[in-house]
Amino acid sequence: MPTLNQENVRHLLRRTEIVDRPDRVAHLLTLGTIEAAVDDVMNVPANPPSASFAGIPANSNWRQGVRLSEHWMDQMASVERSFGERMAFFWHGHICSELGKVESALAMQEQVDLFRRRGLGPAAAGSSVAELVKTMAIQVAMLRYLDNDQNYANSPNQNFARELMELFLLGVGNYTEADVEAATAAWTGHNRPRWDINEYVFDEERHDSTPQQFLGREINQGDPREGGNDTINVILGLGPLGVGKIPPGAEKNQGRPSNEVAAEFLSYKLWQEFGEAASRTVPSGVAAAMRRALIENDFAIRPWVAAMLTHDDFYATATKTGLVRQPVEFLVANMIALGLDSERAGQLWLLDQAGQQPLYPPNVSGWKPNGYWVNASAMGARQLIVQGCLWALQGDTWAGDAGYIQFGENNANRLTKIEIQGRWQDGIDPISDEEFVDRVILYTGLRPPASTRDRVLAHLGHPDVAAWMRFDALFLLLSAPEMHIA
Amino acid sequence: MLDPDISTADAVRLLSRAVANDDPFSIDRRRFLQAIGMGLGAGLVAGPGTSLLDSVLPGHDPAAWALGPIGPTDGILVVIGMYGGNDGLNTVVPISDGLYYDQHGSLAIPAGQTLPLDANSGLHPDLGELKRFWDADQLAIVEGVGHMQDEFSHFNSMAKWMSGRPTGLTSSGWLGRWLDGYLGGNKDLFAAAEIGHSIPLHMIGEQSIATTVPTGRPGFGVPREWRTEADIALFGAVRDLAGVGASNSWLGRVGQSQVDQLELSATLSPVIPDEEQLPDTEVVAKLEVAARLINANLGFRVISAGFGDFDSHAGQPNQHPVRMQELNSAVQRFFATLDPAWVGRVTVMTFSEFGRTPFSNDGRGTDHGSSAPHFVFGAGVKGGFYGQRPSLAGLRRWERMPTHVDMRDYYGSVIDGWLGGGASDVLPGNRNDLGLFTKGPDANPVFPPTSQRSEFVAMAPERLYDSRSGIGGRTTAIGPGETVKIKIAGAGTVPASGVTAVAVNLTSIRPNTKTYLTAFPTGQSRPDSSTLNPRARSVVPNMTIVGVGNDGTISVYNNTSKVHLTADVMGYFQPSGGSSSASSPGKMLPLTPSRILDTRSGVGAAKARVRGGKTFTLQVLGEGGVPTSGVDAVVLNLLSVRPTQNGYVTAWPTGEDRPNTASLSYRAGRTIPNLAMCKVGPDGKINVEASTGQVDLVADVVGCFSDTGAQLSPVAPRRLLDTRTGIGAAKARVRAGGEVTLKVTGIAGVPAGAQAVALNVSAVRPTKQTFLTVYPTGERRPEASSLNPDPGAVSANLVIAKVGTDGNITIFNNRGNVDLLADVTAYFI
Repeated sequence: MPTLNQENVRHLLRRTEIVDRPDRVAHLLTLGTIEAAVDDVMNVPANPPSASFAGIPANSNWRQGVRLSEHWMDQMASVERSFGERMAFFWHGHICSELGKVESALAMQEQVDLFRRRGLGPAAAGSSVAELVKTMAIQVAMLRYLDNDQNYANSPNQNFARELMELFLLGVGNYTEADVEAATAAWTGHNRPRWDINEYVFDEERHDSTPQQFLGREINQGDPREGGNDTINVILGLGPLGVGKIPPGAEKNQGRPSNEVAAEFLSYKLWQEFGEAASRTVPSGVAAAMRRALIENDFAIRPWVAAMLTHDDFYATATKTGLVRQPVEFLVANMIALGLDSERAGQLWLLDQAGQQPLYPPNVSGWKPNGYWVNASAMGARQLIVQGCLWALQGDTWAGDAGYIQFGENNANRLTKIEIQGRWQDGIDPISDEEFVDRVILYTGLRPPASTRDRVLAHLGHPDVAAWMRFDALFLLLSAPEMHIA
Repeated sequence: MLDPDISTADAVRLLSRAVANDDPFSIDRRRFLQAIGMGLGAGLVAGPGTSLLDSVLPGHDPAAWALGPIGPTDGILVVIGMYGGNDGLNTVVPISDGLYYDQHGSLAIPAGQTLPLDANSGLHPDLGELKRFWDADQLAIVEGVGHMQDEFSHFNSMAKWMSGRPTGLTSSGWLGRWLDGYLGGNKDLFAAAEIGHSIPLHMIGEQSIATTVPTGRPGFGVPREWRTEADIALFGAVRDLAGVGASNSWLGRVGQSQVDQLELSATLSPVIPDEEQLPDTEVVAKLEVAARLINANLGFRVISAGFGDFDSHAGQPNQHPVRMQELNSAVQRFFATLDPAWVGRVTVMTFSEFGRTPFSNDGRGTDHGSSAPHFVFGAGVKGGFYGQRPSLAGLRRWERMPTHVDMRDYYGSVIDGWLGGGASDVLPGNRNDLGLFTKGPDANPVFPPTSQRSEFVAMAPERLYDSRSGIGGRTTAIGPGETVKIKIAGAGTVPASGVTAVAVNLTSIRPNTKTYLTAFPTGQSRPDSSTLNPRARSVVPNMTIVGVGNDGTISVYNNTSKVHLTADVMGYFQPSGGSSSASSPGKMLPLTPSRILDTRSGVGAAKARVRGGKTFTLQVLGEGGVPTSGVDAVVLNLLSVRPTQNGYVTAWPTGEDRPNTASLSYRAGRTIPNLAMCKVGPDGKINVEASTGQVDLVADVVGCFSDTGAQLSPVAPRRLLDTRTGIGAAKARVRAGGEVTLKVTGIAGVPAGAQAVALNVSAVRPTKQTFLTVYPTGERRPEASSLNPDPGAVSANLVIAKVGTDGNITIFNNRGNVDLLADVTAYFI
């Protein structure tokens, strides 16, 4: 069992709540054990509020999408136990849809809010992978994104059925083309009433009700509406149809129960998101714990996540140093440090340049981790994100006083205008560079290593750096490499 | 206390070594990189000129050619990825095949709408550009390309396509592995580019990885006008912070990419316009950026760009034509932006994950297919059909077309045919070469175009600027933070056009506090190096060679304090092969420094101090390695030793009147050097006169301008050496008798074959009165001095340094210890 200490608590918070806020660190340290800390972290609000599209014209999907993304990031930045929001973002990257194809921000909101409410949920919610995927499968967003709304008995469209297995539940190579065809048939009938109406309708006439063989089980023989769900039940080994078996014709894992393969696959994705992504492996201890948690709890989500977060492997050095913050995490960390909301610091176009714009995953497999973000062009965008946040903080003008006052206001007057300007004024001595930097560190809640602090101070002392450029300290603190590590 | 210089013996005359004219552009890039042992940090190059590029790339500096990083017959490959799976049947339409019309149903394109290729084939109606290439016999259509094992998952299929491996772990891609071989373990940011913000697998190697180039000017990393020096300091801090993590940790990799980003930003900012100025359609913008990168001759051999979405499971009639239009526009934009000189070097190819099903589904779409045709086109391509058209016969719904050309053969044919070979290293296994090319990459363009090199035209010195008296248009001191423009072209006897650079002696007069001045070509961003470090309340000269801006002026920036400035022009540089109204232009023959004048010991003149107001003549032709004929001007390091009063030295050609200029300004009691370029009189001599007092004069000849030798290419000043921070040499002061060996070629835009470099060398606060000697590494240290810094002060001098073994020069420090800086401003090749 991992020790409850500063370092581990900070690590846990950075991975789950994006930032290790001092007050959260202090609170968790009073709880006695890592398990209790994890429970606290997972005790997320039950009904997170939805974004409101008030004031945006009904057909303006782009702008509604912006509002949706910004609202979500604000939630990540401001909710006290934000792990639910962060977990929803994991699902958003794992079970993708994309606003450009879906063409409806309302539909995307329905999906995103499902992930926010049921992707983790407090204990009472009893969220499970099966329920999440089944609900999501017939929401308009997924129907449109993977074309299941055009999957008809007489003209099947394999897109959704294939990706459900390949990307969402099993992983590629663990099924045959015959299984894809069978699943496609089972998923027919879940459509929309008309091409331009964003509602769900089950059209029995379009449903292919011929029984199907899927992973060695007979499916699609009962209620036509449940034919699709049969595939999920079989894969995960839930319900009366029994668990599927990876067929001999598959590329790998032949003969293994499909729920085991699914548990491995899902755990791998979760570990890549929260643990470590470069090695493409999961340490065997935590892998086994996560797998067991899924299978023994009918793929309930909370025990599975808890199994990961309480395992020693999660607190190993390789795990702690092995994940790069995703662009959204990086922006949210900046927002938290500076006390900004997304209206002032949103910068979605920069998130795009950094490689990740919410609601627009590059393709159905979502975003790739780690190395994907670490290249010159994407890191350049992150520098601009920091600059943009600092400009938002200072208001519109560099030279005017207004900007400095705003920083003071955002931080409850913890740093006055005069202190920031660092110049003697009105009989008040300026605070020293050291004091300025230390106060900035205190108020932003950052915890830079001594080497960073020293270098920041050296910069402020540089002959070419004028007193009114003290804000550079913030830039350097927020762009230092340690800020990019999750 | 005796001057340290006196204690040495007579100057030893060294024969100048014949410098091998090692044209760096005749060796292949791999050897070039191995020779320099590090990646090229492509710096900006200064200087104006007109070239074809200016019309394509306004504001671009054509002297960037001088970087010449790619070999004389190196080809460039542009790869366009069509992501999602392109419907090949609707791209190269089998118009005579009835089965196509049956199976593709409402998606099929009527024969009459296609662009005719032959009796059986037509191109998608929106691919007019490709049709042009077809008509010119320069479009290869490779049919039935795929991988031999069917794979209908996007990701698996794309992974296989990108890796070039049908099975096994896909941790690297085919072009990444090619890059591994090309770079041989060296790092080079400018060899392969992916336009976009993420690197796809095919551009990732086992050791090397492509550089991401944004679609729009990098927004971070160029100093902002209102806080240039502070930004330079800020970027320095970013670099320092970035260096903390271990290189194999994510912390270290993040840091490294931040450093790379700064490097890229400096290089790419002049090359790529702001995003708003690029076309709206993403792939069109990407291909414009690709053409600009090629035009800028930064060294890229492979440029990749991807776009989508081709995955038309439904609604294909609305989707696919748009993709085809985008592809066509992108190709059109690319060739419209590409400088025609490069056309013979470029081949473009396409790829995708897989084709699509021949049977349409009722969503008016198609599903993941298997094989598809792909395009390879360019000046070297042999137009026509390759591979085999997959048959549609006997296919039922859900069945896919057979594959006839393994994608490894497709890639291998391009690597061997255009990228110089090595396909079998990159794509192991038996392969067939499809024979897609009629010829290899052109020898054009030639690097660098000789019209961009410059030759020196010596002048009798002329004062073109004096802020005290109004020469050059100014009668007030230069204020802090102020930049003044000094007119060069058309001023005095300097011609009004065709002037690429100027040799000018800048003298700062009595600033009230410490400051520094930087001279740079007008229109370029001011570099973070100093040309002149004037001492408070004194007169300090420095000779500099600086490129002239497009408007014929140079800019001089003053950091703090108020200071008066004079500028005396010794000569100018003009493009080789141009005509000149003055004497025939000269190429620079660099010499190992050799003392040809020393009035303390009677070398070159009487052994007596020179008296102010009296002219004496100095023989230069035939002395110190200077040839006896064909020489227009000499380059001398002049040294004034402990004059009795403040004054200045003027050097000018015999047979002309003494001009009112200064080659060197001296202060009572001090030892001050300055580089001078002096036109030689008809008798092979020059005149020298001190203005007042008595002074010993020493002159070391370091080069001369003649009809044989090297030509000037200025570079944007770049710091090569800073012992305070560990740039170029150890981070330690140079001790008494110590030497620093500094690499000066193959860096900062100076090619490996440069014969000499112009360096602004600064000595920072030596602990004792000392002298520095700069000489070619590998030669015996001559009795000559390049700088004579006073203890505790910062002093600088321009040094024309002949390059020694392995592209190095050596800087020797005589006494005390001192920090050294060196900024390169030009090279001679």
